[in-house]
Amino acid sequence: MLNDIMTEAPRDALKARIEAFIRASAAESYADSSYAADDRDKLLTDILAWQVEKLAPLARLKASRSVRYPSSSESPDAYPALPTDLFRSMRIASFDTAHDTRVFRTSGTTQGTRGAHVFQDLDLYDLAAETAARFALFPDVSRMRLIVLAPSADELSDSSLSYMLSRFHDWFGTQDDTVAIRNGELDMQRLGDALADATRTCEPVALLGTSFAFVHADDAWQSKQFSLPSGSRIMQTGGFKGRSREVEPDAMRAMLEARYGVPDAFIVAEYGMTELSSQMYETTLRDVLYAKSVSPRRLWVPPWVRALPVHPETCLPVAPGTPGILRIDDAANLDSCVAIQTADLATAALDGIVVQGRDPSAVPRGCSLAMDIALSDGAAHA
Amino acid sequence: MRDVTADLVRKTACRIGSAGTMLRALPPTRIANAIHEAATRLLGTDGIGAEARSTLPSATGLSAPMVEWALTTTLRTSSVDALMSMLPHEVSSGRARAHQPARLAAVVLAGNVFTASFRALLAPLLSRVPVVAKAPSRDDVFPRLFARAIAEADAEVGQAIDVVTFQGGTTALEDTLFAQCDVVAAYGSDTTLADIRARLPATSTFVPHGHGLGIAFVPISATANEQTRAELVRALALDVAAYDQRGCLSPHAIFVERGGGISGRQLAERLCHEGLPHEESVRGRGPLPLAIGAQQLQWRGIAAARGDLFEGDSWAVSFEGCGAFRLSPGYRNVSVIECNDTGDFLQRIAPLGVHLKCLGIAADEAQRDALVEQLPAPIAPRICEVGRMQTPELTGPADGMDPMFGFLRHIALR
Repeated sequence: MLNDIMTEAPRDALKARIEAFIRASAAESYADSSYAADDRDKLLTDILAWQVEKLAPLARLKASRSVRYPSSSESPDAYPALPTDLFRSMRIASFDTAHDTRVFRTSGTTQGTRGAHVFQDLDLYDLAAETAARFALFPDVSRMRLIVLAPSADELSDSSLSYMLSRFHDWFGTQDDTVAIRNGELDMQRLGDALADATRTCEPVALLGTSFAFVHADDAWQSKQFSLPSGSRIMQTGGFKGRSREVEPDAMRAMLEARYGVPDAFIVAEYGMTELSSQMYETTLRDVLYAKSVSPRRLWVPPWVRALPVHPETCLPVAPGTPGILRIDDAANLDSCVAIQTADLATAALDGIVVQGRDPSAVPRGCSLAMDIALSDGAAHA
Repeated sequence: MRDVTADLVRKTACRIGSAGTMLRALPPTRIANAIHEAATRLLGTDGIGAEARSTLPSATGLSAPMVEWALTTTLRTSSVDALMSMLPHEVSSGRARAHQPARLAAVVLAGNVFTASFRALLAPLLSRVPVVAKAPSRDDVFPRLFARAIAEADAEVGQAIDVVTFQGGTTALEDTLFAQCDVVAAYGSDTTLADIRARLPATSTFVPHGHGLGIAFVPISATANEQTRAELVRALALDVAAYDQRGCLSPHAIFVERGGGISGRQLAERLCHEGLPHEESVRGRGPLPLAIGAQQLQWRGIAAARGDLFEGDSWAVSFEGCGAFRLSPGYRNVSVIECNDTGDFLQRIAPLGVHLKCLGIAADEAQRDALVEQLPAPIAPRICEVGRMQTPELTGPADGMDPMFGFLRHIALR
C-alpha cells in the first residue's frame, strides 16, 4: 500500500499540473502562440523525467542515443522521442496491465500489426479533446447537431477517433445527432435523411468523419448536392489507408464545398494519432469568425502540446520553414510517453505546423507489406 | 524532359521493333562486341564515360566514389567471352537454329540501383531482341547513357534500343508500349508487377523481377581467429554500404551463429566502429532523403528501445539479441541478430520466401554448397560469400531464372 501511494503521488501531482495547465490555457488567449511556452516545456520536461524512470524503452532509448541529445535536463529536447512504430511491438505504459481501462489501436491498414495505446483513465484525454475541439471547431456555439461519418464507440471500441466523436456528442451534440456508419457500412439513407432534415429546418450541422468515408459518400451521391445551413462545418481527418481513392487536400475541400455547400474556411482538417491524447486542428474556422482574414492553412498546436519538425539524423528541431520529421510532445500522454516521434514530414509555419504526411514516392524497402506482416507474426522469437 | 505521349511511345516501339530484322541477321559476337565496347566507353574517363561520372551522382543520389565503384564492378564483368557464355550453346556457336528471338521487348526499370539496367538491357539485345526501356522519371540517366554508348560502339545495334521516360503507373502509356511487345520484363514492387501482369495480353511473356532483399549469415567457422574476424567486418561493411543499401541484394540483417569467436553484439560494435567508418571514408553515403529519414528515425528508435543501437554519422547497426527480424530503411542501417545454429537460421529466414534475393555466407564454397541443400522451398536466392553480395555475376541467374528467360523461345527440331 505504501509503495502504491509513493508511486502514485508523483503521478497524481503531475496529472493535477497538466489538468491545471490545460484549463488555464483554455481560459487565456489561444491565439497567442507564445502562450506559456516556457511553462509548457517545463511541464513536459518534468513529465519526461518521471516517465524515463517508469518506461524502460524510453530509458533505453535515452541511454543509447544520449550522444544525440543535449545534456541539459531543462528541455524536452534532452529526451528522445519514442517512435510511433514502437507501439506496434511493445507496451508503452507507466502502469501495470491490471489497471488498464481502455486501449486504442491503430488501424493496421498501412503496416499490418496494430499499435496499441493503453490508458488507466481517460481524464486527460477527455479534457484535451474537449478543450481543443471547443477552441477550433465549436468556438461560436455551445451545441449543434452532429452528423458523424465514422463508426460509433459502441461499434468500434478500440478506435480513438470513434471514442472522441462519441464524446463530442456528450460535449457539443444534441439529441438529434446521427451516426451514419452502421456495422462498418456507410448508411447513405440515414446520412441523406439527416442532411435533408438539417436543410429543411435550417439547423446548422457539423459533419465529422474520416477522409475516406467522405470520399465513399461522395462517390455514392453521384449528382446530388446539398446546401447546408449557414454555420454548418465539416471536420475531416486521417489519410485514406487504401480504403478509398486518394484525394489531395485542396481537391478534397473543393469536393466537400461543392457537395455540401459548406464554405472552404468552415472545412477543417484534424490531425490526431492513436499514440497521442491531444489533437491539432486547422485554424480557418476561427480565422473567419474572429480574425480579419483567413491565414494560410496550418495546424494549430494546443498550448499543452509541442510539435516540431526535427532533423532525421541529429533529431534536433530544424529551422522554421525547413521540412523535417514531426516530433510531438503531448502533455496529456501522462501514462504512456509524452515524446512521440511520428513518421510524418512537416514544416513549422507561422504559429502552427503544416503536415505533408508520408512521402508516397518513398521507395518501398525491399519487399511487400504482406511480407512485413509475415515477418512480424511468424519470425518473432520471444 | 519532353512530354511523352502515347503516339510517341507507339512510334518509338514501331521504330525499334523494325530494327529486329537487321538485329536477328547479325552474328551474336557482333552484338557482344558492341555491348563490350559500350561498357568500355562508359568505363573511360573521357567522352560518355566522363559524362556518366558527372551526371550519375546527382541523378542517383549516390556519392561520386560509390558511382565509380558501381560502374567499375558492373561494367568490367562484360567481356565478350562472358557475354557469349550467357547465350545457349546452339546460339553462340551459330549452329542449328533452336531458339527464336522475341519480336520486341519492353523492359520496365526500377530506380533503386542504377546499374541493374545494364544486364536488364543487354540480355534482350544479346538475344537479338530489340528493346524499348521504360525508365523511371527520376532515374533514366544510366539507361540513356547505355543506349547512346551502344549506338556509339555499333550504329546498327544502336538502332535496336531506345529509352522512354515517364511516371510509373501511367497505364495508358505503358499499355501502348506493351501492346507492341511480345515480352515484357519488369522490375518493381509486387504491387507494380501484379498490376502489369494483369494488363498484358495472354500471348505476352512476362518476366517479373520483384522487390527483395539480402541476408548475411555468419557461421561459427567464420570467426575462429582475429584475421578472419577482421576480414569479415570489412566484407560485411562493403555489402551494407554498396549502393547505400538500396538494392534488392542489399543485406537488411546479419545473422550470427552463437558460440563462435565473436558475439552478435561484438560484431555490431565492430561494424559500427571499424567497417562502416572505413566504407564512409572511401565510398561515402549519398544524401539522405527526408522520407527515408522518417523511416530511419523509426527504425533506429525501435532498435535502441528494444536492444542496442550503435550509431555513426551516416550509418547505424542494431543488435537486438535473438529478436525478430525487421526490415531496414536502407541507407546503411543494418541489424545483427543471433541464432542458435544453421537450422535456426534457416527457419527464421523461411518467411522471406522468394523475396530473399541474396544470401551472403561467411564460409567457403563447400560450406555454402552444404547450406544450399537445406534451403526451405521456395527460397532460391543468389548465394555468395560475404563481401560480394552486391556484385552479382553477369552470367548467373536473375531471380532464380536464366538471364535470357523470356527473350528466346525454344524450337524443337526433329
